[in-house]
Amino acid sequence: MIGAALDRIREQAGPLSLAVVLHVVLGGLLVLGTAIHGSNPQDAPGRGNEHQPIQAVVVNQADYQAAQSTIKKAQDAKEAHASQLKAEAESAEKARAKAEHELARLKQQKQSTASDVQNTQKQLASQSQQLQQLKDQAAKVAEQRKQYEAKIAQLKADADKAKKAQAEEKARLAKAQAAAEAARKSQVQAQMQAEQEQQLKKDRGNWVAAIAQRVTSNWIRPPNTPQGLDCSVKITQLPSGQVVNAVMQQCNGDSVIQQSILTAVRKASPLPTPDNPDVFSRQITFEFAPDQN
Amino acid sequence: MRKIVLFSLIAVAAAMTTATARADLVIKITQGVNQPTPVAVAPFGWNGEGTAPVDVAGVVAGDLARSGLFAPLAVSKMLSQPNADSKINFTNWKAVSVNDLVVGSIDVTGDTAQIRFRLFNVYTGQQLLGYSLPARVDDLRFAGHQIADKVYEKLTGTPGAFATRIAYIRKEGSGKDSKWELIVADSDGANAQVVVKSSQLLMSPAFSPDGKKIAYVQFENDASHIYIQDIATGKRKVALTRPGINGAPAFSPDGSELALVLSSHPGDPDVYLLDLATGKLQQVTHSPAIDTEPAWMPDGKALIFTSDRGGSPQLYEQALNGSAKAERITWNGSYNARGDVSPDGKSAVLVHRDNGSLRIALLDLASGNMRLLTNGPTDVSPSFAPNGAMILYSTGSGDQRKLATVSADGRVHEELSGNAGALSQPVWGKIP
Repeated sequence: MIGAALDRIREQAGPLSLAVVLHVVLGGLLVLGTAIHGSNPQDAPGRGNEHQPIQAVVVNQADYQAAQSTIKKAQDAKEAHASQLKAEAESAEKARAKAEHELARLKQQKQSTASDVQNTQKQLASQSQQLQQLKDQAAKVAEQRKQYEAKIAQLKADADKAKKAQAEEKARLAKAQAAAEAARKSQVQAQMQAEQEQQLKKDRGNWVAAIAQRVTSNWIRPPNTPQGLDCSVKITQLPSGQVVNAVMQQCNGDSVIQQSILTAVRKASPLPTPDNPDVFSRQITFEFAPDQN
Repeated sequence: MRKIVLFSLIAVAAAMTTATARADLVIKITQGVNQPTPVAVAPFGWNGEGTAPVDVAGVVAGDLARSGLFAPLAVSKMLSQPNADSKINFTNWKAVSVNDLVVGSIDVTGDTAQIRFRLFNVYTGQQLLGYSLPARVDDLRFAGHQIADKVYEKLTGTPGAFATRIAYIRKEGSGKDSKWELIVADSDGANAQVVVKSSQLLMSPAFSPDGKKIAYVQFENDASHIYIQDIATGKRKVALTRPGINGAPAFSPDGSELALVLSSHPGDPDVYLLDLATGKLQQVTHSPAIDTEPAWMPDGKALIFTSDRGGSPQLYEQALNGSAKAERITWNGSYNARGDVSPDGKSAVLVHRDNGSLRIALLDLASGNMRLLTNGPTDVSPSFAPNGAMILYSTGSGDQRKLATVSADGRVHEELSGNAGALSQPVWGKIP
């Protein structure tokens, strides 16, 4: 009945519920076991009488005869007695056999019960063992699971870590790439700027040269230009190159020189316009210094 | 307190100026062109009867051109012909790249004229000159030279020397039929007037510093005499008549003395000084070689002359303090003669013989450097214009001898118009 229940439980329940059920069942069995022990036949009354009926008797012939008669009488008596006894014995024997039988039956029953108990215990033990095993297994599984979980967690952590590292690496790479890109860009920009500046410089140089050439070709140096002449004239021009204003800033030459210079910058109008409008300057200061070349 | 405010204002202004100046583009001009300045002299308006007897504008333009410093625009290329009263459209003159413009008008009243003229800078629009000068109607040429002088001075900073006179000798015919004339003319060779006529050799004319008198050598009966003649009146007197050569007179800068050449001993001419007030003679050079062609330094303290005392004709300078020895000043080549000193005393022109060719050269007296101004082959008798900007000389040979000018920088050569015939020994008078 218990085994069937266990089987049923085993069949129907998972290891954990199994363990719980087992506990309950075991508790029940323990109560039952005590009840069985309590009905042990050794503790039954009347058990001490079974050893007393066995006694030996020794007698001579005359005595025997006399005795025979007597005996006989006695014997008869005895026999009567004996038969009585015997009947009694027989009845006792019968009782004893019956008792013995009962005892045996009880014993057997006891044995059977003990065996049952044993079996049950065995089963219990086995089941307990199984339970333990299951428990162990469960524990093991739990442990494994724990381990797995730990492992998983670890793996997950590792994975996270790796992922994080990867992300970081990716970020780092991205950053590095961005930096590289930025650097490249800035380098390109710098280069472009440098080139632009170079170009600007070149354009300005060309423009300045063209203007200088034009002003030079229009400056008729008076014959008596003094040594160390240094005159600055500031002009304002329109984008068309038309000179709209020319003012002498300073000049160490006489009025003739100054006239020649003012004429030159005016006559150079319109000044050459730059190919690159960026280099255009609305105001230009011409420094007439023929001895400083 | 007020001062502090003012100072801070100045500081701010200075800072602003600096900032502005930094933003400016500065372009250095280290060269110019060495060429005549393009100018225009528009035909002068004539407010009188008929047409003007003289193209005054043409006289002005001719003078400016001869100086070598100006390139006057041909009248045919002018887009307009404004006079002194016109409103000037400068665009017309910019269009033909003219730097400066002269306009004028002549208002005639009877025999006299009033010439009004203006000088403009075409590119600044500024009027540089505005003059009104009186002139005789029959002397408009000279007025033209005066205008040229003013324009020249305004545009170059150096006084003009166009309203001056030159003198030269003209020879006509040959052999026994030869005739000589001493002629005085305007600086452009025009207005030539014969001052002396002679059937014998006339030579070595020299102006007095005031330009009113002229000294010259005239041969009479094969003897040479030095005369001094008043140009206007024609009156003359003998300055010196000595046996032998009496030649090469030259007035001192103050006009009180005459440097000249005498040969006390045949073949040994020396330089002397003649005091014109006292007639006293003083020998300046004493070498047994030929010393001739004296010319005064502008300060009157020394003479330069030609001498072959070193074996070849060279120029020497002789101080007139009575003690110093003559110093040779030409070292280039084997023939340097007939020197004339510039008005500023810094240079001399001379005749330099180079490979048999006679050329006019300019000698820098400080450095001794010589620069050839003409190409020869028979350029002689150089004489500085009184402003030192031009040199008058004679060129050619025989009866094709002409007068020419060269600008002091050697850039412009121009032959003077004048009478036909052999013209020689020109000399440029001082600015009166």
